[in-house]
Amino acid sequence: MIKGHLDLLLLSVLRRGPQHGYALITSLAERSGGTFGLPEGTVYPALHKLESAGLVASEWSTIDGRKRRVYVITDQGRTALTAQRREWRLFARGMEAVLAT
Amino acid sequence: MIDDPIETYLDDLLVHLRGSPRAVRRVLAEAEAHLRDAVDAGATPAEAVQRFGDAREVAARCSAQAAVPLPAILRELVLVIGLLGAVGAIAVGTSGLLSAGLDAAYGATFVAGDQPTVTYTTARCVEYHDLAPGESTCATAAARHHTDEIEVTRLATGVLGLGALGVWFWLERRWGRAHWRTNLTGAYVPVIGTTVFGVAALALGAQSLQALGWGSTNGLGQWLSAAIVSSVVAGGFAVVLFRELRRPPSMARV
Repeated sequence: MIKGHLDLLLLSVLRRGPQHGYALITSLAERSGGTFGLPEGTVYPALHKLESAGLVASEWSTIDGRKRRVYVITDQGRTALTAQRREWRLFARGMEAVLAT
Repeated sequence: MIDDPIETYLDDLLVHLRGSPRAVRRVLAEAEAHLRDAVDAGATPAEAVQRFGDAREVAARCSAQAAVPLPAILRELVLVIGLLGAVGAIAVGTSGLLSAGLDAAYGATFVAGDQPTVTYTTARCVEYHDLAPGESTCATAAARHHTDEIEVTRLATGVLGLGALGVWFWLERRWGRAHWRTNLTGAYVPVIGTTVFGVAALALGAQSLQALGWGSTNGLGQWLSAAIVSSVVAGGFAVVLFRELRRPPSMARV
């Protein structure tokens, strides 16, 4: 289920600031309280896809003596995030309403 | 030497990754940094690898992002088909040269003469004499006409092949530095070349033997010249194929 919403989750984490892959996955795990336990390696192709779509940008950077690819959300990514969050909230509200009855 | 799970995992990932060299290097670098970060954070190398996910699955997802663009596929196909076509046309031209040599050495009857049992109608005989006025008999006039046809047609094909090869070199230089290489590289072209020209050499050799089996050398030259050239070209492709097969695969784990 998480696969369909991975883009939204990644953009949401990146909205708080540039991150490299490992830090991004750690943030995702912490903020979800360990709910999203997807294979960590699958996040990279998702990031590459977002970059191809122009929603994130990246560049190599040396952090703590290790070369890492740091990702940053673009303006286009922020617009997409806003739209996706709105859709998700509508969907979640609808689901909640149906499940509560 | 103790086997490092991270090194083993990165080897597996490299073997299964597809895409441009830059894309492959990027995924590997990101994966290694991630795995080392996980170990720095307290995970064992085996745990870090296990959390990262199956190498084949990660590679498949990354490779799906790096599918070869259609223009690159078309460029590669044009280069492969163009090279095989140009070599084939030049081979035909070379067989034309060889036919001309056999013509000079053994005469037109050896190259394209009809079997002695063949007869000609009066009208056909007149036609052949018109086409080859210097010949004394219908049979020699027919042989001269057919030999000239074979030589001119094959040589013209060879000239076209040389032109095509020139265009191929120009395109190869223009596209050769392209970022993408498809799967249609390495041994594929020499395999096709060896097969096609090898089969042609066998068929033309059989045709030559059949011509001999009729009990005369009339017309033998046209088949013999083509069989010899096809054999040489097939041999050339076989040498290239052998050299290519001796090279270790680019993504081999050693």
